[in-house]
Amino acid sequence: MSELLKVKNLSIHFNTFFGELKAVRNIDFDIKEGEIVGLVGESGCGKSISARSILRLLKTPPALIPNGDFIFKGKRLNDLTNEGIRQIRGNEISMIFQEPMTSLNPVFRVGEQVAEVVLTHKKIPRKEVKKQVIEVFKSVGIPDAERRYSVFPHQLSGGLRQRIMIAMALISNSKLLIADEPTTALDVTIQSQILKLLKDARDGYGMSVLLITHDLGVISEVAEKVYVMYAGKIVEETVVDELIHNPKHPYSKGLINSIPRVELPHQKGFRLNALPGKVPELFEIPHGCPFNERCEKKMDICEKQDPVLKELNKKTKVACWLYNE
Amino acid sequence: MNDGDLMNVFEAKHLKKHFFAGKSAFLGEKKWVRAVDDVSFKLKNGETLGLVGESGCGKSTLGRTMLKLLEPTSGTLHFKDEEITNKSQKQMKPYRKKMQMIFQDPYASLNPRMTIGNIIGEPLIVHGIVKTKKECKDKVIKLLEDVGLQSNYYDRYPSEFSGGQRQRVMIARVLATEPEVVVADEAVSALDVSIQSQILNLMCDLQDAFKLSYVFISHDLGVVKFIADRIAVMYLGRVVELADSNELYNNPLHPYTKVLLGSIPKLEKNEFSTSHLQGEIPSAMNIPKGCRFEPRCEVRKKECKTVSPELKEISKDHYVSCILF
Repeated sequence: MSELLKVKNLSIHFNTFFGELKAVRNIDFDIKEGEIVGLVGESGCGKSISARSILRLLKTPPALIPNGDFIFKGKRLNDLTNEGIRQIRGNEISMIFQEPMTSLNPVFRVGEQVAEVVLTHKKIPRKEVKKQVIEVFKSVGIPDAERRYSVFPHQLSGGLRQRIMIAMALISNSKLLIADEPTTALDVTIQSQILKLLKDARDGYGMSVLLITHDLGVISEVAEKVYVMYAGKIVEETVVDELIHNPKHPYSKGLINSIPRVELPHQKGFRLNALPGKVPELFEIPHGCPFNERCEKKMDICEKQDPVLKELNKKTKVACWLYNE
Repeated sequence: MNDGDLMNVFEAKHLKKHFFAGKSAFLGEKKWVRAVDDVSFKLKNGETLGLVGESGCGKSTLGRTMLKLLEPTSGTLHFKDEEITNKSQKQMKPYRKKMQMIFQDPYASLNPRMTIGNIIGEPLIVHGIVKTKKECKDKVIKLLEDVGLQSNYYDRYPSEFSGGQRQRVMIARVLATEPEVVVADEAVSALDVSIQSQILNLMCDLQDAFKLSYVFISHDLGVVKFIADRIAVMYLGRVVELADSNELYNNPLHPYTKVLLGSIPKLEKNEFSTSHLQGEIPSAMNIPKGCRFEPRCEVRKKECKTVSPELKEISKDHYVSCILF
């Protein structure tokens, strides 16, 4: 599999009342063709803004990107003009969001919104496009596709709206889909339908997916590679099975252990292994390793120096002093 | 265990809550949303009853109706031996003390202009539990410590706290009146994974310490399994299955329970083998005749269209409403 997107040394800062907040600090990640990559972390860890910065969707200012290279199919996205990135956006790289109501325009019919994607990037007669749209609606499992072409977003449920968003990505034959918490607002039964759809999109269309979520269950269902983020840094990069069964970074371990597992029987008096403390605010990130205040295995060096992401074995990279001998 | 432990602390019989939804344009027929439609259950002393279901199944309405925050349309409610169905707001006051509620969004449920001390102290004053200001402050500080907050938070405002800390404040306020029944409506859904486990552990500890009975409403099946002793699965205003947690997860009988449990993204998995439920939950305004789950059911029979099944005890303490049983 060849590399599709490579993000190198990305930092994102925000100018705020509190001074300059370093929301994302020197992260690298890459996505290969036909791969589903997960980006996990709790709220405020920088996972969403990292993904948005790829498509230049962050408003600058207040956001600042002091460094970072985005290499998509061998091309540097940084060199493109705003018009150039528009050609990529929605065409080669698509994005879907958590709340599908806010990402669809309430005053246009959904079919036309999907058609617009094609019409913006290609010169095809409208009638032809409508056929294509209905075709894609069927392939993402929208029942009654012909009629649904001309309904408004408010007439659809959350699950159907998310399907419309995925249809938008499929119709333009996007190479990469960035999915930002695509199932968080949905019920579990609908969530499993949407996750299956993402998998099918990858298998059928060869689309790569960057899946951003806080739900490790979702990651373990669909993703192959995963990056764990904490306070603006990638602390562990590994394959999904390793993360679930053999997490290395104390934060990944804590996160996995604190989940109430469905597989375990219910027991009165059983307690979860909760991580102590809370995620630090961006203006109070501790010196050294950002996790040191909550870490059980804290050492002297953890307060002094921030560990870098180092290769532990072929599958795993981890940023922790425990593995630095 | 003595007899006192086995007593039901709360009971609902044939509880209904219908909302008026306007008249139809034709013939002026009145339309009703049947949010809760004939639900009966008992809450035993010291147990946790989980209520699960997709959004719109009526689980939150049930929680509010059982505390008479919403007037029931019909059916009866019993707190211990006393019927509270027809009590006026004034007559309810002594019962309010004994039955409390924790809400989902700790940002919306705390008054931003009151200090933490006043928020927690208010129920103490309203119910005449404390006589003097000094007594009130001492009690509040004790409560803050019970829920794992520092006593110097007394004079601070909610805006200074994170979601997890606010939810602790909510819990302290609930504990202030020494309740016996606590309805927790999605109490941990808005929290990050690592904070969620802290709050769940706290709720378990407090249950043991203060002999609380919980009704725990959640859409997260992993969380419910961890905390609940018995679980009721709701679908379109009805309880379709009720059983002990382990029994329900190991031996789900109702077709809806089966797909619901199958849709949970699991950490441990071999294949993407979960079952996928077709379609979405119908609107509570046009509930299917016969079995409510019939349009989505994979094992439906002819009779399901016309016969509405009753909740029956299949084996000891395992109730199912499906004509297959």
